Amino acid sequence: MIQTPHVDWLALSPTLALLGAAAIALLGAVTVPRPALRAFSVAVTAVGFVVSAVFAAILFDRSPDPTILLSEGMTRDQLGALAAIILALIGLVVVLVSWGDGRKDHVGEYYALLTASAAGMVFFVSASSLMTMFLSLEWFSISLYVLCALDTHRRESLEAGLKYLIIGSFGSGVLLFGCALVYGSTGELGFSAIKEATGADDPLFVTGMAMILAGLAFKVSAAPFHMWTPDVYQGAPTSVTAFMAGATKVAALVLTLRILVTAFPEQAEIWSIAVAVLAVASLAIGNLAAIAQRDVKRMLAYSSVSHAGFLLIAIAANSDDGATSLLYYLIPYAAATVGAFAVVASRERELGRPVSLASLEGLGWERPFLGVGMWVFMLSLAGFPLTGGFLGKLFVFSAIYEAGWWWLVVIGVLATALSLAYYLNIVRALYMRQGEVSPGTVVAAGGSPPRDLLLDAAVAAGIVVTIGSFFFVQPLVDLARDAAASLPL
Amino acid sequence: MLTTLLIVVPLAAALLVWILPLSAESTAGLALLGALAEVGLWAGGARNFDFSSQEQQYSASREWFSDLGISYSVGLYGFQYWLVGLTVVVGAAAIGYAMWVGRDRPRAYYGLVLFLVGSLVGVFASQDLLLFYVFFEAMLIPIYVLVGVWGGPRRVKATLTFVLYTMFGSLLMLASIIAFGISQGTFELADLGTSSNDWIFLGFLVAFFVKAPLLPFHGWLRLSYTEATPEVAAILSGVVSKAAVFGLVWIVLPHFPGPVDDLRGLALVLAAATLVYGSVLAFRQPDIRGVIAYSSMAQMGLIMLGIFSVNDLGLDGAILHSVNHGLVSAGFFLVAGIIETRFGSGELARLGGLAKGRPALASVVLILGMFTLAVPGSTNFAGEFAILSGVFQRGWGYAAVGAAAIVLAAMYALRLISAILHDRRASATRESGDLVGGELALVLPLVAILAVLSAWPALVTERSFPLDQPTSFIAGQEQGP
Amino acid sequence: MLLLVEAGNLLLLLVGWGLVGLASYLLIGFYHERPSAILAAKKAFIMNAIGDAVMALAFFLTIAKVGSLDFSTVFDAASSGVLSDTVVTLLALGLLGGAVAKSAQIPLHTWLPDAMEGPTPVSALIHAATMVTAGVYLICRTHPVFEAAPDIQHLAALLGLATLLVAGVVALVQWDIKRVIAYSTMSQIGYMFLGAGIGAYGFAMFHLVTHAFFKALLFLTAGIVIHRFSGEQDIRKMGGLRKELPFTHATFLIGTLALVAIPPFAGFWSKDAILASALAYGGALGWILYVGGLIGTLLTGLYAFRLYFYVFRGEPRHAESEAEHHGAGEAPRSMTLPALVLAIGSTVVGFLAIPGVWEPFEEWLEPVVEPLVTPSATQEWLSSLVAVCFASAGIYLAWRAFRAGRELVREGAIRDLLEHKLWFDELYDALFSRPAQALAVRLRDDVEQPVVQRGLDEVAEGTLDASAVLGRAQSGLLRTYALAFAVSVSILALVFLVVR
Repeated sequence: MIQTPHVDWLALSPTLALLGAAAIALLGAVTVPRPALRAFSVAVTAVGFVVSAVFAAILFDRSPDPTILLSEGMTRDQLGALAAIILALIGLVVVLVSWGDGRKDHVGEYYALLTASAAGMVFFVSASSLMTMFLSLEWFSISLYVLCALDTHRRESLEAGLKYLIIGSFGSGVLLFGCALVYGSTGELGFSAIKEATGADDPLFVTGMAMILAGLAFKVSAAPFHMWTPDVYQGAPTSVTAFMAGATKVAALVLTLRILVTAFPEQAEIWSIAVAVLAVASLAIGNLAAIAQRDVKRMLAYSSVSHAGFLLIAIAANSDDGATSLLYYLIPYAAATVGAFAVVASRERELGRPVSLASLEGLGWERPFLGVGMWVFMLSLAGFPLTGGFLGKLFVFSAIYEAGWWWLVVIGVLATALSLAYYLNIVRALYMRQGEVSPGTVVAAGGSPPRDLLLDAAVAAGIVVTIGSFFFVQPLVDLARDAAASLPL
Repeated sequence: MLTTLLIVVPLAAALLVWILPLSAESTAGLALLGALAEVGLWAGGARNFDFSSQEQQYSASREWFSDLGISYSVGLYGFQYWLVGLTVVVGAAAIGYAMWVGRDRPRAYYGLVLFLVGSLVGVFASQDLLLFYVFFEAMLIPIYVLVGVWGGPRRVKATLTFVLYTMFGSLLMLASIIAFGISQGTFELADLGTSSNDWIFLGFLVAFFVKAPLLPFHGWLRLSYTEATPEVAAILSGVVSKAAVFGLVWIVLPHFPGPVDDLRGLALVLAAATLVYGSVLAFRQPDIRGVIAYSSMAQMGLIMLGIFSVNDLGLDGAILHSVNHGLVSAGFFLVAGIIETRFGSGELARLGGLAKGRPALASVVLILGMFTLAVPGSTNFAGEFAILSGVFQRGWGYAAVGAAAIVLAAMYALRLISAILHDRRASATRESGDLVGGELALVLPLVAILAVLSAWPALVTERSFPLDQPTSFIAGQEQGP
Repeated sequence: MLLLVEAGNLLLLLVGWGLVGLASYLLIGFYHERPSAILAAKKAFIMNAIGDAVMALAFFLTIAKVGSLDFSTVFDAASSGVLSDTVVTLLALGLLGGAVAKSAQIPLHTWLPDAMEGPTPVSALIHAATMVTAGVYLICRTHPVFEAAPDIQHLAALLGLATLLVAGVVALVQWDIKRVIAYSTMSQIGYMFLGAGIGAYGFAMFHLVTHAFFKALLFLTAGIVIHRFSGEQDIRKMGGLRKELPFTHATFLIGTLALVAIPPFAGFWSKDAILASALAYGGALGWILYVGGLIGTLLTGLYAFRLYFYVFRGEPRHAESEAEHHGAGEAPRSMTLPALVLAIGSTVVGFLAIPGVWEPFEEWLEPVVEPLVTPSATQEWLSSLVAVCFASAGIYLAWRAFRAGRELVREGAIRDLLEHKLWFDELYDALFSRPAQALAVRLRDDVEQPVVQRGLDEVAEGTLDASAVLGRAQSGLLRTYALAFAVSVSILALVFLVVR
């Protein structure tokens, strides 16, 4: 009998489910006839995401203690499982949003790539060695590069894809180089092993750590590594932007947390300050730049940069509470971001051109449901009470205060004040008509497109999660705490 | 239970109003019904309220965010109950006014007003610091939209100014709340001990000084009160500003005795300055709303004097005057709205001589004006006298300023009354008759309550704090468990 | 008013005090379509408010030091020496301030003449008999406080003296019938203050009572006259009414005689009692008060009879058609009956204080307000004699001037001064009213506008500028991004290396 290695299928199941769905979607792209292709792809990928989420939930339930698998390549623990659930749900919502995007070409490829990217992310959050980390990073990034450029008829999309590819490769290159340096100085690839093996003062090691951090910060869209974000978010197809803003950030942040805490705990003094500085930079740049934006997608891109800042504060706390608050905050953040982009997508489809603040005017009255949704999402991103975003911010600030860094609380609070300016701008555009519609603004003739039920469902889901995470905060926090417990904090 | 009901009823009514596709009249009727039901709830609760007890009444508590020690904890002491009463009465009057005048997009409008009322009740009923903050902020959402959509020509600037000023203060308060709560390990007001951290104290102070407003944080006042619809302005000046009173009396005074002592002089000076500044400015405002707005600011300065005197007289007076001022200024804003609607303008240069042939209007304006200037015998006088007696014991200068303000109040109030009723100008923009039953029905209940309080101010002052000993009650809170 | 006098503590008194002021405001402004009436009403209220504020301050001090506003508690504290001199002085000063405002004494007196804008019955009631005398009542009521602060009490007397003289001379040049009577009221209340100021409480109150009768009488009869002339109040347009309105003439004459303090009318007994008290008080103060009071008597005779002669004597100066006035003959019964009652009172009430013979009034009040000075019967009769001489001199001079058809005060600087009421109005306008308005306007334009309009604008502009700068940094060029990335990584690595 050949000794087959023990494969923990359950641990791999979320990823595999998604890979399977991607494969089927890709096959379908070739085989299924055009008219039915969209429905087929959506169905397959939606099912794939649901199955993945279910598996991840089971995984969460059944992984009380972290286990290393794949010879240190992957961890089976509640942190990864929770992140996988979140990613899968984001993916599901994005699929719902994508249904109505009027795509004619590359329909099947779109959904396949989306699912593949998600698969990569799911694997990414469970990665526990430098190798698997880099592999899965490239895995999902490359899918994203293509996805960004998939609106081939639009120049901006191609530009976005290209930019993302080039600068992304640069970022990945830096990450890889950092991994190489770390491996070189410790001789280990696995995170926990790195911790054991380290010589804290080794210059190679420290430089490697810096580069790894930079590479990850790139993915997180943290300043000053964020410069790709506005262009790419603006140019990519809106559903892809939604996916990037939500899922990429979740994945990148979770992994950043994992690697810093697992592999580099000894250097915590160094990297926590660095992370804090990155956070402050992101907050400042993200919020300030967003105020002047007129294009909504670009504004939301900067908003996501500023949120990277908030979330990095949680990581800088380097504590159990910090990790818990990060995981909790990701939930309303993801819901609000994806939801906001969904509303933007809807308006974009209606108008047939990019959405600016001016073109949002009156949306609140014309489409009350979407208006309310956008309103709720903006309030959540701004950290207003009655939304989960408020409690998330509160939790993060509490964690960092407990860690003793009260000045970060002050900066965070000031940044929140600043962010209000542009979030309220959007709410204002929705509801308060400023006067005459400027000449040259063309309103869609021939009536509005029919109601997109799936998109409405997506927005509804977003609203439910955003507000629900406010009222039912403790259960979610319990989940987050369990997940955080899998880290050696 | 009752407290939760008091918070939830307006919120539920708001939800109903938003969802049900009723006609404009039915929506208004439903909203009014909700508001009156709320008043009825409060009145019923008042009968069973044990004012002499040292315990909170009608309290409820539920775990919410136990990781941080935040719970849904509500309960009412006497002074809170009066503030809640003020809220529901002014809210009902406001909705009645809106119904009388008619507002477009009624479902959104009434829903937002009801939501505002609900959040305000929540503010006054909170016994958890973070819950207080939640309601404090939640108030802003409806105000932002109400002023920004239904307001006057400069509404967008008005609402932005209001929100940004308030958020600036509130976010500082958030930082303070986090620091305070985390360092104490809980956010429940009853369990929190004291702190001598001046910075945390300042965070709260600034937030409440912006809300009141006091000099120099008052930049939002003029525009907001002028551009909002009359009933929203009534709620803003009558009730929302009292959130600052509540916060100071219930959060700041008990938990920061040291910093209060240290910075008391500064606070009193600012309050006195506000009192004078507001009164002087009120004297030369060109429109009714401007006068009431600055008068409001002056009265809040007076109330702050009472609060920071931190003695029995001052605190009792502050609570009483909060209720008084809430009712008077709400009533006055509604009357201003009525005048603007009937006569086409609120500018004093275009009004005048309205007393002729309009006994009801003249009486109402005169009565409200007399209350505004705190004519002896009125409840406003009782509040003012108590406050000034109290603050005298902290420094005679403040009381002297207060006394001067009495004269200033007489000046601007009489000027307002005469400008509306007496001095005949060239051009009234529109001719209109006297007040009719509907309008009187809005204002007279407020006046009636004021009259009752004038005859019996002890109704409020002796039933605000357990055993009618404000200072020992507040000092007792300092101990914590 | 009733609340005011029946109050048992200072707070309730203040409430009554303020409410009376409110009533005064409303009634003065009764003819609300007349701008002058409204202005007068506002002026009255605001001056009274100043008095109220001063009193309130004194009460705050009382609460702080005594702990109560109850009359007995406060009086005991004041007289027992528990309170420091400063406190008692301040308290008395506060009370005096309120009294001065309410009773229209210098320096808060300018509102009373203007208050004549109100209907005449109003003038009769509150601006002659009741409200304006509240100040006197207050001083008598709170006399323990004043007695504990004798300087203030003397100040009250001196203020009363000043008022009675100033009002007297100003009355000499007034042409409005009601204004003359108003200044007369001010002057007589000055006498009451004088009396209260030296501790002759009983006599002060007595003069209050008699004054009520004859002053109200004067106002009511003046009202009949004004009514007769369809609202005309200028005495230069009157005259010769003696024959036309005999009853009115008779009652008016009685009132005037009472005012001038000619026996046996009421004013004689009361005013002279005060003068006698001043004489009895002695010392420098007593003599100054006494002589001043005598001069006042002379002045009273002058202006009162000037008024009488102008209105009732001489040839009719009014030129009007028959149809213009309200029918010939005496006024209707509704007007003459009250005048009759008051005339009787003006005659008889004085007999309640016949010095040395029968003084029930004084005795009745004595348990509550024990006078500080009691003149002997000799002093009283002696001073009365002197006073009557002065008064008669005044009457005589007035008659002479009237006969000669000339004014009592010749044209010139003095007349100018008097006609402008010693420039008090202008002074207050310049000192208070204008600065207040200017301040309001200045604050509004220079402080508020910038703060309101521009306060946030600065912040907003700054933020937008920063935002624009950042927007420009986002060049859209990949090489910029890559450069930024590379630089940031290098810095990060460098920092890590240095810090490790």
